[in-house]
Amino acid sequence: MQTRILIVDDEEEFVQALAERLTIREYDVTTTFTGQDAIDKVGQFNFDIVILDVKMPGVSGVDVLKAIKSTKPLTEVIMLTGNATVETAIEGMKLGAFDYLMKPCDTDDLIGKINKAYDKKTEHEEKIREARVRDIISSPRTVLNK
Amino acid sequence: MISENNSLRDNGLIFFGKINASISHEIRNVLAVINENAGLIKDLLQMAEKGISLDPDRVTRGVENILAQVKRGDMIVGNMSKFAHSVDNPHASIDLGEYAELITRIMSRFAAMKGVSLQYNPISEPIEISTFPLDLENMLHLCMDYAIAIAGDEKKISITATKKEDRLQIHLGGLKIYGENQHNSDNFITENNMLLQSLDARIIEDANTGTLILDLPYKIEVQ
Repeated sequence: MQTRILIVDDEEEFVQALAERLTIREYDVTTTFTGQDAIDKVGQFNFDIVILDVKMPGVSGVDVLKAIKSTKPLTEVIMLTGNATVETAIEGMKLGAFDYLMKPCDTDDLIGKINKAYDKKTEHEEKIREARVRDIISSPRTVLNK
Repeated sequence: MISENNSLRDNGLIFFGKINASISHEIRNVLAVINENAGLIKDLLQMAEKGISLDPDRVTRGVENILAQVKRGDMIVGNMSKFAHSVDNPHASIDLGEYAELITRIMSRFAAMKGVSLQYNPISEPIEISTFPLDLENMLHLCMDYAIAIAGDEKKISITATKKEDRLQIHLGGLKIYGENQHNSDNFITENNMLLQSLDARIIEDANTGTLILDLPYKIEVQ
């Protein structure tokens, strides 16, 4: 299955070009230009990775990150930032972002981080599955009655 | 007096740093768009080398995006350069309209982040003012920052430089100056009293028209 990515940034020409480049590399890409729409999309669909600009008009990147982590905690978030907002990106990491990148970013760096974030997510999902299986084996009635 | 001067200088440095950080952030955004579009063109050419047909429209779109960003970058660097040189002399005779327009352009990004647009209304002739350029720029920035916070429902602020008898004025229209905001305006004036004194300026509020006015003298003598 293709890695599902949501790109969130108010710089439309940046989003469109990055989306095309990631699509060429066979990622499944969705885009949005506002924080509020990103929150709505994350609520409606399942993404593996969100690439999120820190500084956007209206709902900020940090607010979007908080919303993602409260509704879809397994979705990994990579923050994008200009140098004026590195501190915000670090704050984002404290709030659960996987990593951050400075704009303009090297494509290989970004793809490396996307793949690592995807590995972390699948590893986490696998651990959850294994824990469920262990629960079923140890006390099947309790689990099945839940 | 010394501590007042230090405080004004410190405020000026904070303001200068804030604007420079914002400009460098904007330049990074421009570079990011150029970087991704150049990268996309490279990807398409590499695909063409492998025998996948090249879509000229996609290449053209990428090139046009790059050219548009170069123009945008040039405008930002132009503003930055003008801003940097505006403080070459601590006291100078300058064109108030030109400075108001420059600070409006620089503050537009801050306004956009809060869903507000700033509109500068150009004037036909220069309005010469003899003043402290950095303090004036700082005061204009503070007025715009405050105006953004109390913008009216339309979220559009119009900025005009004008002559009023023996004084010069900057009008910031489209604001909500009543209720709780009235109290905020009093605080705004108190907080910036030292800067206002340095410019021999005062703030006038017109709640009926929703206008904040920065009232300035034509000339401040250097002591």
